[in-house]
Amino acid sequence: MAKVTGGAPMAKQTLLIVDDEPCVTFMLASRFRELGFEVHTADNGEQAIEIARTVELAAVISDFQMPRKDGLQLARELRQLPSTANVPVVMLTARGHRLSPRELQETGIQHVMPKPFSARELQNIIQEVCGHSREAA
Amino acid sequence: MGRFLRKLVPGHASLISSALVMSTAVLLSALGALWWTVQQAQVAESHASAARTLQAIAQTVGAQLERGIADRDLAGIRMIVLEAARGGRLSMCRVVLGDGSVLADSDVGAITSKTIPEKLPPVSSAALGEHRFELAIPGRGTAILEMQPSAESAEPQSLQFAFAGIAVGALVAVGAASVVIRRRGRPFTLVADALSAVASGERDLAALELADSTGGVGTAWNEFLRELARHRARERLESVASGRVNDSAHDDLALKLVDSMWHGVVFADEEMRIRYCNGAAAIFLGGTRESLAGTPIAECLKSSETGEGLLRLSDAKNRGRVVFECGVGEGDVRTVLRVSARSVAAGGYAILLEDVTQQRVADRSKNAFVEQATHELRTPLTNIRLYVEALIDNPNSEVATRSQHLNVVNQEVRRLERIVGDMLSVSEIEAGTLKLALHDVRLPSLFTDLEAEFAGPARAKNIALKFDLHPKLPTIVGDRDKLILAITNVIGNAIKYTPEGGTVRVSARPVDSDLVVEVADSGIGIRAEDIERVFERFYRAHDPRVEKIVGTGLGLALARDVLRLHGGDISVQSTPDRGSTFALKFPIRSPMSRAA
Repeated sequence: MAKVTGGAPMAKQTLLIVDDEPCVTFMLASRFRELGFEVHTADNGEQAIEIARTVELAAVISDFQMPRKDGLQLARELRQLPSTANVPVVMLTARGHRLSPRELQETGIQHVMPKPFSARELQNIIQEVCGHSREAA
Repeated sequence: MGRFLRKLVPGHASLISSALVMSTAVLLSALGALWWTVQQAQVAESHASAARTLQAIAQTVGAQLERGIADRDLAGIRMIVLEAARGGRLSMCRVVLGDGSVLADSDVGAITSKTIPEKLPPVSSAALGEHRFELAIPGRGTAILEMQPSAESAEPQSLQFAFAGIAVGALVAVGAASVVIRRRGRPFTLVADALSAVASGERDLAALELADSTGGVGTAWNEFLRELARHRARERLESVASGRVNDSAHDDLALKLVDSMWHGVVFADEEMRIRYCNGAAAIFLGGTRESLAGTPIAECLKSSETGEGLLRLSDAKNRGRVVFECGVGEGDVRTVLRVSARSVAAGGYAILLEDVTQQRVADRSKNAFVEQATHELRTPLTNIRLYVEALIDNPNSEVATRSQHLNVVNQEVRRLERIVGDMLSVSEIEAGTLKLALHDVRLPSLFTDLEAEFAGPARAKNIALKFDLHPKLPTIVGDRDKLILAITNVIGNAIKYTPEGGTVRVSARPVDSDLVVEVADSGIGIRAEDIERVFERFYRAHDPRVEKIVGTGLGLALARDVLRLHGGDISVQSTPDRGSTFALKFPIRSPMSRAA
């Protein structure tokens, strides 16, 4: 995880946004780019894993229900990859799906946001987990 | 039973009342005879006593009168007579001479002699009698004292009242006795009625029980009935357990009925071993009726729910009845049984087994539907919220960006409308209230609208959406909104299940008297095992490729319902991984405006 230290010039933090709804990825991507993040998008879990292998990530925002590989599987696999084991994951869920504390522990999911959600709230959460602030950006 | 009682009671009541009337009559005539005898004795006695009274009066008054006559004190004699009449309660008291002249009389007007002669006329002894006494005046002769007792004093009035009192009392007593007898005798009457009812074929012992208000006799009778019921139940249980043929046709019919029931019926003894089961129960329990006899029920219904449920049966607070569900069988033939067990008064348990597998499957489909519908609704809501938020947060963004955002919001609102429309229509179809609002429908404009509707979603997925329309599409009679709903669902599915870069081709052309709309896609296709069921409500294929894609399982069901209401139908041909073609067919009817 790219933790920014001391007075060194701030490097751009990278986010991965995964959702099979193109409207969602488009909107979130443009919002976080404006905030100074570098953003990658994927529309399913498999694609997301491919990106995670090659890019150093600050956080992952993922939808829960997706074709091919769902959000929970994605979070588990990210947990097992050495490079992404500590990357915080924010899960967006449309089913009011309640994850058990054990599932959260196992997958490293830090936040669950039920859809429909507010992009502003998501922004606050991402800035918090990345130790990022608007001023810094 | 009630009918029996009503029929029987009047007869018995009249029997009782006629007995009462007869005994009353006997009693009254006895009383009458007694009264008459006593009356006679009383009259004789009163006559004797009256005679004695007159004698006594005659003795005292006679001496005074004899002195008065001797002294020729006429006024004194008359005074004595008046006083004697008053004091002796006589209706008449007078002094008469031998010639019949009246010297003094209590009735002053009856006096005929104004003087007392020197020599009294002789009195014949015949003139004397019961009420006539001789007054002997020495040296002058004799006169007669005549007295008549007053009429009422001869009648013993007090006795009359006493008798009247006795008679009234007797009547009241008879009345009261009849009430008491009726009340006391009622339980016996009811028992007699119940016995008649049994004789007339009444088999329901519970119906023969008497109310608690009937007291000791009723309680005893009821206890007897219950004992009889227990005895009968034991007998029946034994006869059923031993497979003996029942003696009465009634029981035989009941047993046949139970045997032919589609619900499982089991009778188990106190140790929960099967003593009897009908055919359906034998199938549910996975054995034959012979092989199951004597088997503990928990061995046939192997599930944790069974053990728990049967354990609850012995818990007093469940009052001898429990209902639970348990699964039997394996895999595809797994059946969900609802088990209702209750203890039977005669000992043992009656158990009803109902197959609720279908209901549970339907429940699961509905739950899945609610879950899917929630997801379906949340997706457009999420997009609307995100884009509206962006519009609010960036009031100075470029016009192009703003209009792009508004387009997304618009598109998502349409999506919500469709979902809500689908749900409403499904609930209307479920309730049988879906009706078509028939109007002339211009097909060219209908397809233009559809083309505009799907251009965006197709572009977003990079799908080539082509409309191949017959140049002369007719105007038909139908429900435009519902037809759009049906075709939209089919095209929407085609886009949904076609991967990026694929194609969806929509064609419409008249074939004979029908209009045929075909929607062909290059999508994932439908597996053979699912193709029969895709039009079922809430059905979603158990295909991992489908499960990842959200859907309510309603769209195609709804399309079929709408087309069938229009007199048409829908069919599908599909090759997995190559694509599917849905054909929607509905009759072209001449437009209403022309027909009118």
